[in-house]
Amino acid sequence: MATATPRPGRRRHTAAPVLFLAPFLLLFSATLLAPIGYALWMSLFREQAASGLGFGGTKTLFVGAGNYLRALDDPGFRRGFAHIALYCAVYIPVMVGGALALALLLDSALARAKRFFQLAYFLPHAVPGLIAAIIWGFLYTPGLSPVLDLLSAFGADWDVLGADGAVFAMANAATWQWIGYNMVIFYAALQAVPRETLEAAVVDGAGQLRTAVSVKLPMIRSSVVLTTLFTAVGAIQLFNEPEVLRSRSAAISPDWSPVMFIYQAAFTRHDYGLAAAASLLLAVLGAALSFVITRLGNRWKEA
Amino acid sequence: MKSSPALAAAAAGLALLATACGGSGSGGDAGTGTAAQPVQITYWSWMPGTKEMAAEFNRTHKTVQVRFSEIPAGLNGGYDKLAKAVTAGNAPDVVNVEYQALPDLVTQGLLRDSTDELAKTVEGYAPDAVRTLVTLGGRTWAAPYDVGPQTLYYRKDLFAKYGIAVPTTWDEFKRAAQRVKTASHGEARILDFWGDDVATWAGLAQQAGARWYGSTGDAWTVDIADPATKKVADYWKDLVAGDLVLNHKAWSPEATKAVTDSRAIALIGASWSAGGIRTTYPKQAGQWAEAPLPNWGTPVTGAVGGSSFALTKDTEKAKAAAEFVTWATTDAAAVKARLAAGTSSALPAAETLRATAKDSFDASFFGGQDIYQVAGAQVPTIAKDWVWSPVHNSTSLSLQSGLGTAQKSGDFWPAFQAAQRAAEKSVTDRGLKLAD
Repeated sequence: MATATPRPGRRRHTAAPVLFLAPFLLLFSATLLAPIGYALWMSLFREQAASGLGFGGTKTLFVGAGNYLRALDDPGFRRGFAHIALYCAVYIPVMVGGALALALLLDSALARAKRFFQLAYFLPHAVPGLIAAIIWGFLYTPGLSPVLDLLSAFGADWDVLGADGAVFAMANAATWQWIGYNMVIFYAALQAVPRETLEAAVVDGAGQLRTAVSVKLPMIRSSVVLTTLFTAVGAIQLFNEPEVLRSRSAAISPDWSPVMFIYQAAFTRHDYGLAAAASLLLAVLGAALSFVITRLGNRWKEA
Repeated sequence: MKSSPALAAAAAGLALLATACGGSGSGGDAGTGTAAQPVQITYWSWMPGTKEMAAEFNRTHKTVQVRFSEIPAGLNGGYDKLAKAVTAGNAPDVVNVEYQALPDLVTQGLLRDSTDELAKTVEGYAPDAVRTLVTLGGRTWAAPYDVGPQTLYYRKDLFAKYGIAVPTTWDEFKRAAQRVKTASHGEARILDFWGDDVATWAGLAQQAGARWYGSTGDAWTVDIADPATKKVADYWKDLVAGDLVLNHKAWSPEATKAVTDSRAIALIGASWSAGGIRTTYPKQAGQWAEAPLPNWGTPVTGAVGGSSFALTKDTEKAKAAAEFVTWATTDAAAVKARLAAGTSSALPAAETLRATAKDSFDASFFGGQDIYQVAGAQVPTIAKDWVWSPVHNSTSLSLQSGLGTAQKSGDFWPAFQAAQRAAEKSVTDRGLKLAD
């Protein structure tokens, strides 16, 4: 009997993984691979007017890499990446650093009312991003914002949504939204740090600060890397905040971020080929960024 | 052999699908139906009162019945929805289209050349100002519903308080602006000029003689950075730089607040603005009035906004659809039903409908002033031969962005120069021909 069982057993082994993977593969193909394939296909064509005035409808032309070259050649699209780079440079250190600081503070032996603060910091994340952007828009508008009115009363007139301030205004809104969420992730990771390790640190004479920086932080490195990765990938897809604040700020052009450029290409210029090509370029950047951050993160972990 | 019934069913399904798709290309005509078997047409709109209007049509008509669907406002997704529906072969028969968007939709191939169905009707009732907006390449693509001459709305009480008469020319307007500033000790300005509002600028430029778009032969002309527009830009730069007008972002809460607080005592609007002013500033009832817009010495007016009814490309019920469109644009019952439900003060393109429109609009907010007479009298003065272009939507976005940046300094002209370049690029990007 012992020798007879392997055969059906092996067969079951080949069927089982397929069965278990099928739901994932099916959804993955239908919702990710197929749309990417379709975008790739669309990015090779361009709609053109069939006559000089265009009243004879449109014809579709195969242009190969033409749409990709057009996207890369567009100053608006390139400017979008510069905006995003500046935004990331402001937003990621402040938000991830801030979340880390809050988590370490909450985790320190000195903290009181931990549950309350955990909830309080997380609460902004419960507000939908679009709504938050609208409210921030009001808070940034002189004459409507109590904060700006107060500053103005003290003689500090600050054009938050002006040419220099817009990036900071957006980073501020996003930080408000995401700092609590990431703090919760860090805090959960800190809970998993073995208590005996911390006790050992105390026995060795390390103070609260030293323990936080030299013991706790290295032990939650993987959470920090993961959070930074998600934040960076999210940031290059920036759309909500600038699109909403655009109606309040002259400094934000309709193609301010790459996703806004794509949106405009598709829905006001009906240039779906260009939009598809630009989307794929953005996706490639996202993938490259993930690769770099994970690599750097691994090196840090091994250090 | 077991699977044959399923196979047969699938084949039948495919065949059905094929006929459904194939039928849409023919552009044929199912006539106007009978009372027993009325022709069903579908109609998409987002404009206030159109649902009630469709219901009124169904109540009074037996051989054609309209199925109404509400869609998002055109530029907020309505036109995209239409584009997708046309591609998918399930577009409605009739749709509302704003004049500014019409050339864009026509070049996308979404609408039907309705010259045979509508040209005669349109000729019968539509003033030149709007007929040119729905006639592209010599063909009729839609039937105009309303016409939007630019007008001035002002606070009667405050004009009297500050001792100014309603200005009739832009020179007088500037003097009145200085007067308001001095008389109010700097508290108020004559106007909140929405310096980033492309529609307002288009009307003002049209009044001054600009023709931003046009065609020669089979090519488009783009003339946004022309001398007439420069004249208008310079005029407003002078007023903004001299702190004689407020200059808030269009439709912004700050702009609303300035009028609510009586810091701005006039607005540049169009015939259709009256309804909005009434609902936005209810506490100022009885204090507002409408007047012709100041001009450059001769009574010429610009027009902004307004919408039309168009048949979609693949409609198979063009005759029935045209019957509905004709009724919607020329029958008093249609206007009555449409206006009874909404707060619109749109001025019907058909002159015969204006009395009905007047009766449907509660003008007590304007102290009983006959605002339809004021706006209606401007229609013959609307500058001739203004047309929109397929690239106006995208141009408008970049122009608005440029104007917004210039709002503080009042140095608007560079925004028009940039818009000129953007528009030319959009024309060639779409494979349209640009005149040399």
